[in-house]
Amino acid sequence: MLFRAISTSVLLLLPWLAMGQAPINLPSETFKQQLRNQYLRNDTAQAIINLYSKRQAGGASWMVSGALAGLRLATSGGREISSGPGYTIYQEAPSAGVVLLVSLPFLGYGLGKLLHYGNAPLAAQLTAYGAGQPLPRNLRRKLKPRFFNTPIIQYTPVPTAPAK
Amino acid sequence: MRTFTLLLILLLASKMGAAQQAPAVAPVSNTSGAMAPSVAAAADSGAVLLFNGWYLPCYAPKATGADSTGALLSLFRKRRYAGWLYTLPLIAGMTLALPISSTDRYGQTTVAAEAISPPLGVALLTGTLVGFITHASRFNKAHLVAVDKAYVAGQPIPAKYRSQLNAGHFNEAAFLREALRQQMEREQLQRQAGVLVR
Repeated sequence: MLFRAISTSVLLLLPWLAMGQAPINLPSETFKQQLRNQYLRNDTAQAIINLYSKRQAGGASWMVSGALAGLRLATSGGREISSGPGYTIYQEAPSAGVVLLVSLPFLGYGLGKLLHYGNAPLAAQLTAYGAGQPLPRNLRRKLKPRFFNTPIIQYTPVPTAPAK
Repeated sequence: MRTFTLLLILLLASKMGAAQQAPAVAPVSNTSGAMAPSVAAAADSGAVLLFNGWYLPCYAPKATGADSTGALLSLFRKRRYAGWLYTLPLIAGMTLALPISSTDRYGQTTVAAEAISPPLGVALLTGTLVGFITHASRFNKAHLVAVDKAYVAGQPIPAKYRSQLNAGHFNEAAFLREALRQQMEREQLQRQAGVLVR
């Protein structure tokens, strides 16, 4: 039991641990990097890129967790709940329809986020903004101060030892 | 209980691997004599720590060489994270070495009378442990600093690291350098704006 709990928790932690590292999808990140370079002096454009990156990551994590939950459901078996003289109650394994019904909303939500906050909409949004059009109201509402404060990359300068 | 002990041993081993502080600059200062401190200080200027403390020295893109120090950081970071994959042989080894409990469809949990193959499992576990310790000590932060400083001082990168560098590491290095440049430029802009406001 203990062994199973530990191994399950380690396996569940693996994707999270893998996400702890920085650039996962290098082509997508370099695309955003080029956009950042283009609007390097514009705080609002940087905040928009931060917002889109955050929402993209959120979409991916919804899809991954939805797929994991669906996989777990699909591989579960039935079991007997109780039995008495002359009767037994079985809980049957979830059918494919149930699995789809449960996991599709999560997958769909994640996919929707990924599509809505994809790199192409981001580029279109920034082009329109760069051309002088005002930001749409829904995007302006979503730009919270934390997106203006997010650094591009977190770093610590190494203190230089004074030469003796 | 045995599982716990094994995990504890592994945890301690990883701690030891991380805490192992190699005498980083000693060989460099021996070879270059009195010039060493100023060289070390010059090498440190512009150096930064990325992610959770990985050392990245300054790199001028106009220099003829490729960005080997950046690629080294990428290599160390990736290999270090890949160390989590040692949990897979660990789980496999424990499955072989310890009796397996199973729950049948009536909810009864039964523990098997004997493990599948204790000798094989123990061998696998020992291999995993030894492999993990060597892996963790090969790719640790102190070694990265030592290799980087030796490289800046003109020594070649040891073959065991150099042979593992590939195009992906150089791509990630280029990405990180560019991100750092953008971040530093934006910080400078913000500082200038602050000066103007004041």
